[in-house]
Amino acid sequence: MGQTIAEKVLSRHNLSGKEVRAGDAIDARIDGLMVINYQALRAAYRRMGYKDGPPTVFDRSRVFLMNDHVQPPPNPAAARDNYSSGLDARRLDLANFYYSEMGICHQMMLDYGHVRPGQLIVGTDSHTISYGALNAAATGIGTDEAAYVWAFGELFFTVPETIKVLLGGAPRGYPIGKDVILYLAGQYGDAFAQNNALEFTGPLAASMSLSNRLTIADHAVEVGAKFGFFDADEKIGRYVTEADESEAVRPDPDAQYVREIEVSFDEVGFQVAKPFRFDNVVPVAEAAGVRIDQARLGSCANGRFEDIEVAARMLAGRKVAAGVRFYVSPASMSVYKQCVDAGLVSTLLEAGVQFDRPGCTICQTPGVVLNEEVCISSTTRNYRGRFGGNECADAQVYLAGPATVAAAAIAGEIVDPTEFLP
Amino acid sequence: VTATPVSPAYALTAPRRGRAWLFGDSVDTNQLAAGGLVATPSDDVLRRGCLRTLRPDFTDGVQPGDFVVTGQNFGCGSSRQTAVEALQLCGVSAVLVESVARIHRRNSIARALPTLIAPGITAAIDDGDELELDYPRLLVTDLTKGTTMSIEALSPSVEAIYRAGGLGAVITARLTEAGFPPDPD
Repeated sequence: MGQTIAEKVLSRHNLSGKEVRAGDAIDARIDGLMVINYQALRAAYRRMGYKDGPPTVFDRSRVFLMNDHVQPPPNPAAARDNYSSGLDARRLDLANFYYSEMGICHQMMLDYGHVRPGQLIVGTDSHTISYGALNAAATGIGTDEAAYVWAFGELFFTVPETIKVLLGGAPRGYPIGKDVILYLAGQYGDAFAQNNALEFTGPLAASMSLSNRLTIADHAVEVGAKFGFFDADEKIGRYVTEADESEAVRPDPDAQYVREIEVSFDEVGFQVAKPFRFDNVVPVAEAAGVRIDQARLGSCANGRFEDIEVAARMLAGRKVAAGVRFYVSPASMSVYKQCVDAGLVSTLLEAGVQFDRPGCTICQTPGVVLNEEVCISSTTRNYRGRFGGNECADAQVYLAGPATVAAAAIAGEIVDPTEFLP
Repeated sequence: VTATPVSPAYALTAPRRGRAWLFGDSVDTNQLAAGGLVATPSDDVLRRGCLRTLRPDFTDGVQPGDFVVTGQNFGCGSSRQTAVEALQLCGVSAVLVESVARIHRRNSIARALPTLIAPGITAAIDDGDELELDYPRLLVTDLTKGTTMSIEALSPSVEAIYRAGGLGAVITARLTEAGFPPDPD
């Protein structure tokens, strides 16, 4: 019987050396540990009795420590946290420590070439799963599990069942990844892949850009998945230098799937998730006319060059609607420079866009949405209080792809973006 | 979070009684622990914010030992472990769910907050009912209604982490074995 991608990757990483099947419980060797919010990990070690933080690290070159979530530090306490993470990074001689760079950890992992196909990577952020777009088995973990991996370079897993998702339809000249994954969530619910791996395949998966794949893989966690895989084709060369074809993991033709789903973008079109759930999805026409106060473009899901490029194309010669705040945040300094070099920043500034720093703030705060306000966002989540915390739990946040967000910013209300797309 | 306020291991060994606090489906981590950008929020902030957006009466009313009862996909969203710790700071002794999001489930194991699958529980009980959790017999009894329902067993390896008091204890033991004992008090 053949194996899925998840079964193959976990077989290769099984510490006992045995080939595994869905349902097996294993201890697996970890290729990479991405850590943000280091202070929480340090506090976990303190709770265990290690007052100066972790006493050791499993492999100084396989830990990727980032201070990205609080950059630049907004207060002395955050600055102190970042500073002390530097002390530990030096003490443990970590080879990959990003002290003060603005950007989203996941985009930086890609920009710096820390992800390769076939690897097993864990990280202290749920969107670590996005590396599946590069054919890596990647998933989010909590603080204490990260403390375990940090010390021992291994972690326990249950080998997941896999759902195969066949993507069809014609590729477009604008980002459609968000619409595809929102549609799937709307059809099948926000837990349809709970504990499962997803394999995205089919003609549209092959023809779509890597950026679109990253959007979909990033959101695999929003439908409950453990991993979200795409194939390792030549497109991953953008982030993986000297990719070795033997690293790519492909499912066997007779692999067993728990479910198969087929979806064609031609029949899907632009989608919007209404407050406050990722699966509260309607076609854009059904949300059209909702007046907005704020629009946001960025995040690990939709903050790459082509997400910002489509907004610039749509806003060229146009203005952000009066009374609307439109925040744009490139996902990393590298993406920011690409946007500057291509003239996108200038175009967007002329249109009235406000640029936010690269980083995770675009997905949270600053940029509060008040209870009486409405926001449309390309970011990751529309949960209550996402942009302002408990005090703003009634603020209405809609999720959509970059084109739909940009169109709403121009029109001042949610609208089908087709007429604004050149 | 500096300490585990409710001793975890006993919830799996002896029957426990408490009030049921009923919530719906897809209760996300922003509602459990707002403010993901703050790596180490204070215990007090975490406790006071827990589930407040969904039930303003929760944090003032919850008593040590009480149960949170929820529907599908509990704890969906971010990987923040504070989502588990906030419930512990409120004194919640176990969470009884129809299903749980995978990272939250693993964080519950790591911090030894029993989060147990009880199929059909949200329809079978009412908010405010007195429940008894008897993990050794894999039963939940609604003492108010006089009804019982079954819960799913944890795997032996997961039970072992709970009995150790969480993943921290496992790490300490293994590091000590490797020549890295904790600092003297």
